[in-house]
Amino acid sequence: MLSERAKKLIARQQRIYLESMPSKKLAIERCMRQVRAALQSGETGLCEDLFQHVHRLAGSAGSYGFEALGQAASLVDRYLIANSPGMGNPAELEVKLQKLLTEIDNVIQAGD
Amino acid sequence: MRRISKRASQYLRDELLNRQRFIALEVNAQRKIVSVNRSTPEWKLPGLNRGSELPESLSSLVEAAFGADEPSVFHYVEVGDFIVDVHVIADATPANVVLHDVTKAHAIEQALQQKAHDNSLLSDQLKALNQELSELNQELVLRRRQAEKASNAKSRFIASMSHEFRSPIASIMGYADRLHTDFPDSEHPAALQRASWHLLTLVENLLEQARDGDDTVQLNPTRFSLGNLAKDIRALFLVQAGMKELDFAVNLSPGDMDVELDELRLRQILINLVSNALRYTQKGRVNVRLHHGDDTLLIEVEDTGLGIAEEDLETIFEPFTHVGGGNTTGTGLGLTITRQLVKRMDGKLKVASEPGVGSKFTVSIPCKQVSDSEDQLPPLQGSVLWVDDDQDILSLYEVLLTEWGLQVHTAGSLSQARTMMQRHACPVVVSDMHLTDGNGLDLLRCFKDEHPKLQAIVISGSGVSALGPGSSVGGVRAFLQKPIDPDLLYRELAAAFKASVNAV
Repeated sequence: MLSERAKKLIARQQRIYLESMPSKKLAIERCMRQVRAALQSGETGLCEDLFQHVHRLAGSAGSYGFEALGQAASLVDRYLIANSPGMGNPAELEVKLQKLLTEIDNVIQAGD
Repeated sequence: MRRISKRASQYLRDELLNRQRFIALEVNAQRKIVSVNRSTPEWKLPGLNRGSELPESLSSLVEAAFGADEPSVFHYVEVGDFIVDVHVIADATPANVVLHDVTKAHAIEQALQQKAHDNSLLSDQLKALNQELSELNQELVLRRRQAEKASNAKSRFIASMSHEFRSPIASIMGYADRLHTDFPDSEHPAALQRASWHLLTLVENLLEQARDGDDTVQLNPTRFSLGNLAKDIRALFLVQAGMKELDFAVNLSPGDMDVELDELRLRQILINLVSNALRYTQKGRVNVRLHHGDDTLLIEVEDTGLGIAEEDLETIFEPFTHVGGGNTTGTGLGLTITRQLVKRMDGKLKVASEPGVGSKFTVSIPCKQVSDSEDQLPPLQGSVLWVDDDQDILSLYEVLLTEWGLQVHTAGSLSQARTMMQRHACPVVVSDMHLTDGNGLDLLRCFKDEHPKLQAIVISGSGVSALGPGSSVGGVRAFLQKPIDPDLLYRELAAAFKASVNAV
């Protein structure tokens, strides 16, 4: 269904998307630091910023053809939804987030 | 005999003499009875005779009333076997004493008092029972809430587990597909694919059960070949039928064709019916017939198995039920799920059976044959509003849809979407379901009120099942899940623009 021209346009969009990946990673890492600090101070409520970043990544990565990244983001997304209004088990969440960061790194490295 | 005073006479007339059965006495200062008058000659009381001394029980009453200006009345005095009211007029000598028979009235009053007492006791018991009932009701409400909570937790768990199972199964199917491409002559990748379909069906059965009648779950119709489906079903169960030395056939008439249905659900129905037939058939045959005609797909699964007693024909559709004496290794969900799926596909499921002879399950589902000419979609033309709070998604689909020939307007929030819609009145709107500032479904419902011809498509990142029970899906023509398959998106957009032109 996709014409060659459409494929080229999508490839161009993919490059733009890839270029935004480091800033997406930084944003998620910043949220993770906030979450860790919040958990240490006894707060267990969902970090809305983290959820928004992850949810968007879960929705967009697959559409741009980065399926593994989309799945890793979806795992965190679903985990946060399932444990809302809390954030579930901090250790479990941390493992899923680390996996997500690894997938982001993989995507960045593959694009280099 | 001394005449009684005028006032006493009046009292006697008004208060006593009009009543039935009395004895009137005159008693002198020595408490001797000087005269006796009876209203009823046969009614006599012991010791009340002229010239005799007034009995002690009455004498004390006369003594107490002596000299009083007003008549004295003593109620319920026992004299012999009778109960009497004693009226004493002792303002002069001789005193007048009237005994009025109230034995019956007293008995009635006592009975009434007893009844009142009994009623009081019953009332207390009733209060206690009501209190107990109220406590039981509270307990019941609490238990029901706990049960609902547990049931919801169970459903969430099953749904979550089923979801987790899906990904690896899909991965296995994908690799099997790749193997099949690499080794087209080998039967093994195809067997792997069929087994994966079977496993996926079992998982989907669990998922369906967890959804428990959630009608908001949408079907995902795709184009596929009935011939391939028939071949897969035959190959999937051939070994199982062979192990029991059963004749097993899958026939398709009038021939291979493409149809548009939810292929996964249709496979699920077939796998459930055929595996059930094989499970309960020890000898003879299991025949599967697929027939397409009059825009309806007819499926018949006939066996020479145990058969089902008439009284069990409805029970077999209840979850976790096994009837008859056959092998009960299944989950007991197959027929329950099959009926739910058939209903969801607007189809009908019938069963005819005779114990010891066999059973025949018939499913009819409305579906149209898809021909190649119909599959040619027209070029896209018109304007579309795409609403998503993710700029990455907006950028990607703005480029793609523009390339497809559409005029694309984008909005990153509900308020922007409203402004864009006022400005451009797009006939087709695509919206993410969960937006940062609200719900895409609500937005589309609002647009639909203002623009009845509007065609709405919802995109969800967490799956259409996330709609949940009670969510209205009215007015939405399609639900697509991220990542969006571009082919499917093109088809849905083409169908949406076609519908917007035809909408009245």
